[in-house]
Amino acid sequence: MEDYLKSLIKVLGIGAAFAAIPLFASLAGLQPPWPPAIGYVSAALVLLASLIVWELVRKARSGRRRLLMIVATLLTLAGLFAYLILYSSFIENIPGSSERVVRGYECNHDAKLVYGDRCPDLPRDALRDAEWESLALWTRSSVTTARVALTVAWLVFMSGLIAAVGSIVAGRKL
Amino acid sequence: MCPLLGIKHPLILATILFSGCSQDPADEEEAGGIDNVVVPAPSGAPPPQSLAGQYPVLRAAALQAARAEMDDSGEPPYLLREDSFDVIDCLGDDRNPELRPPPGKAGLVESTARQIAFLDLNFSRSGYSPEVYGGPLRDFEAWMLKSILEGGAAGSDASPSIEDRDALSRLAAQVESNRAELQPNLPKVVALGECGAGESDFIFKLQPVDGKAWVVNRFGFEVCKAKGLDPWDRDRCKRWDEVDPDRPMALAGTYVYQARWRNGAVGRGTKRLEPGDGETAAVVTIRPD
Repeated sequence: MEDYLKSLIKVLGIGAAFAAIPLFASLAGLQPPWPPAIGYVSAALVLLASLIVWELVRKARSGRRRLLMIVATLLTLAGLFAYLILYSSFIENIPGSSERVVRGYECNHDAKLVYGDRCPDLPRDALRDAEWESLALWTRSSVTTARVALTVAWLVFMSGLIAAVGSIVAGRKL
Repeated sequence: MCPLLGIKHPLILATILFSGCSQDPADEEEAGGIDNVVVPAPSGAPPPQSLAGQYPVLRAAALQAARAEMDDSGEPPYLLREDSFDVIDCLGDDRNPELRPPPGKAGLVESTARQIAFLDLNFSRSGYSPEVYGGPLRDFEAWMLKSILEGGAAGSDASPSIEDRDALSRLAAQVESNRAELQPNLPKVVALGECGAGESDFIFKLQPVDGKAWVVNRFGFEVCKAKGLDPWDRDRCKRWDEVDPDRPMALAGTYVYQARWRNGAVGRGTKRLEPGDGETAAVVTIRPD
């Protein structure tokens, strides 16, 4: 029982350290701009993922541990690439401000009238002209889909990262 | 006699003409939260020509128009966000700027009818039951009408506004209280109005001071132009907002302005407004051309 508690405390310590990653990432402006509390959501996910990985891996054979490492690494890379592609396509930074705007992929009626064939890949100046309100240019459903896709890719990346690191650490004697 | 003066929305006008000024109960089938509103009347039954007398017809027609617009767009309820329902409409009159109601009390009554219909339809299509939102919406509606009919002249400080944040916050709080009790699984109801991004405060000053100025974001200006309207004509391009030299406006982006002075001088131009320091309002001075 004492060993179990000691191990659990160590793993919680590791989990807490990883939980700080999203907070640092937030400072770097890497996290998606939506939803507003994404930093806390990420931190909770990291803690949960680290506990699950520890439970799965601590007594697993080395072969199974290696398989989990590979799967988790692939998940991390897939999430990261997806996130970077989506970030580059849909996020617009407002100059002189720390705020970011999520674009859509389908112009609304007014934007089609003004920009025609340039839709839906509108220049940054289109957003500036529309008070940086993406819903003035794109349909709500397309903006919502882009927001959700960004968040999902981010969470996949974070989960994969924790699973990869956790599967390396949890199976070793601390 | 059917009171039609001052009604600008063609669908509302057509509905009133078609219905012979009677309210069709079918209009209340879907959005049934506000069917028993009490329109305040100063004394006795209002004459048919009065604004209070017009209101039920206007509201029924506005509901039909809002339903048609929502069906045409095929979009989900506009006020339903990812994790909440925001009673503050970011687009407001900009959704149909060419249909902005005329100034004056008649216009405010028409705006109220449209806003109530819009809220009612958004609530019902988002799954909220009339028991959750009907009562608070009726209270909000009665307060708006009372304020308009008994309040100051439209456009004055005493006149009510459909963008009154305090009133909308009260509405949201009352609906949210009912939702938490009756429909806890639905998104919470808020009054945040997170519209646009990166705004800073700007104050427009005229030099000389005896003039008036109006601003519109450049996209709105271009939309009017694309629709074949003279974008400088404020009567036709309804997106212009008059600036108040004593009150800061939260703005971000590129804006077109026009100003007119008592001596007939005019000023027109474009300003790019970048985020400020967040503490003091930046002053934008407009001078004659």
